[in-house]
Amino acid sequence: MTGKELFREIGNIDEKYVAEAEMAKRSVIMSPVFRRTLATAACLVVCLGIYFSVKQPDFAAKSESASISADSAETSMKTETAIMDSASEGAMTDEGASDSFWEDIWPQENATQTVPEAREEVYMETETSESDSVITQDSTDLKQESVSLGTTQGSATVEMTDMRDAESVCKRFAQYGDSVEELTEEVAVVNVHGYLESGMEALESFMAKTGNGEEASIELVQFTIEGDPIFYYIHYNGTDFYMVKDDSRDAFAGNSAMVQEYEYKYLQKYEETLTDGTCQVVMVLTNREDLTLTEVKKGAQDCFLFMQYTKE
Amino acid sequence: MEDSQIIELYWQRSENAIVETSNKYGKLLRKIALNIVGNFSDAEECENDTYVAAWNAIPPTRPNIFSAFLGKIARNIALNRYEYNKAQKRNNEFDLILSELEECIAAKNTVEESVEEGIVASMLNDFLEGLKKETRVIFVRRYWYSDSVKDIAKRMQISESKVKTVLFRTRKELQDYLAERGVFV
Repeated sequence: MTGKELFREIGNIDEKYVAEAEMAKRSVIMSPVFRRTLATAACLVVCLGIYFSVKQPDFAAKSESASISADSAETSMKTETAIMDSASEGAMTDEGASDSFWEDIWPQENATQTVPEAREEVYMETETSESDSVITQDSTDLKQESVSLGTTQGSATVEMTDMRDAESVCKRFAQYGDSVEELTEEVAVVNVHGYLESGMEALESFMAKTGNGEEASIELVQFTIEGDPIFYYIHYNGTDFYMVKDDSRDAFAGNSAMVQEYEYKYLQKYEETLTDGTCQVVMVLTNREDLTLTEVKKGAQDCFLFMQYTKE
Repeated sequence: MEDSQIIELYWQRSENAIVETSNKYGKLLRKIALNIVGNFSDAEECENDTYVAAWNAIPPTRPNIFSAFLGKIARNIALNRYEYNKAQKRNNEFDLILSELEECIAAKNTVEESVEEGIVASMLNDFLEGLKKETRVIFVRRYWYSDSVKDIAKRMQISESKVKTVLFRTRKELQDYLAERGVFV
């Protein structure tokens, strides 16, 4: 057999390998520099986690209590009493410190975090430790309420409606497959390493509707360089955008939250022609109407880059 | 337009099928052909021949992965064109690919001509299955798509030297793998 014959035989390999190689396109987002930065950041997060688990083993419980307290304080005076009680009993010995910690490590103003199981545990703990506690919602009610870390930072709490329920969104994501083929059928927009595998029309339709002020929602999935899907759900109610990001299937996500919620006022779309002639599209949720692409690239804080792809 | 819709156009014998195929996969097919034949005019001819071949093949064929199906046709047509042109001119990059593949085939006196067509492809599938995904992608990009080392490095966001190292090791592994199964020169 000659090299040419072997080359012909290679032409007969299974099509799935050919498709796999075709899809393994260059990741613009996951450049080597970005990967190194990400690795450093992941190490930092792990170190912080270890530090706080050693120094403050009950830190997580405190943070949750603080969040519950913050939400409750907005809704009733009774809850405030409960907070005072729990604070006086030592459950929240340093509420201010918890807030400043979150401001330090969680600078995005509108980030909220949903950890339903942990929350239920905290609530149960509160109920059992304080017989006269006014926090008496059952688990069903709890699911309808957001635990907002953003409330202490001046942003609005996400109002849970059917369209804005992170838990039901994540349940839906959980039913989806892992492969590009499956997700192409299940999710509106599939972005494989910076190239839209499907969903251009859905994306444009979403943009058009939101541009007209109509209510609209869309689901997107992006693949990490390792091939893990990260899901996004965006809902626009005519006033603002609500986004859920679910990276629970990202094996390299580290210890960061699996599900995050965000609220922003504007959706900005930028197009940039690169030196090689390709057109890059960048889509960002932001609270600033005048946000520029340069600022986005420099890592502007008050925004979230949720989609970046090459226009073909 | 989705692949299934384009294939449906072929089945309906609509000439739009060619237009849609060209819109979606023209660039890919041209690139595959260009990597082999080495010049644009031949690559364009190969691309057009691919559409004709696809038109003749569908129906009755209903491809599972349309891009791979078209790519395979383009690759074969380009390879035939390369052989036709070879007497007059050479495509250095593609000659390099073929010479690399020669390394995969162990030199041995016992010629095994009985290796039937398709058996080697099956062996290659098994071999590829055993590779790590990144290695497999690099191998397929190089020897199926005939991409240059530079293009692969750019696509995979790794250095050219790493691509060369991966290809070298994979060729050695493939050589041993094929030799164990009686595939020799």
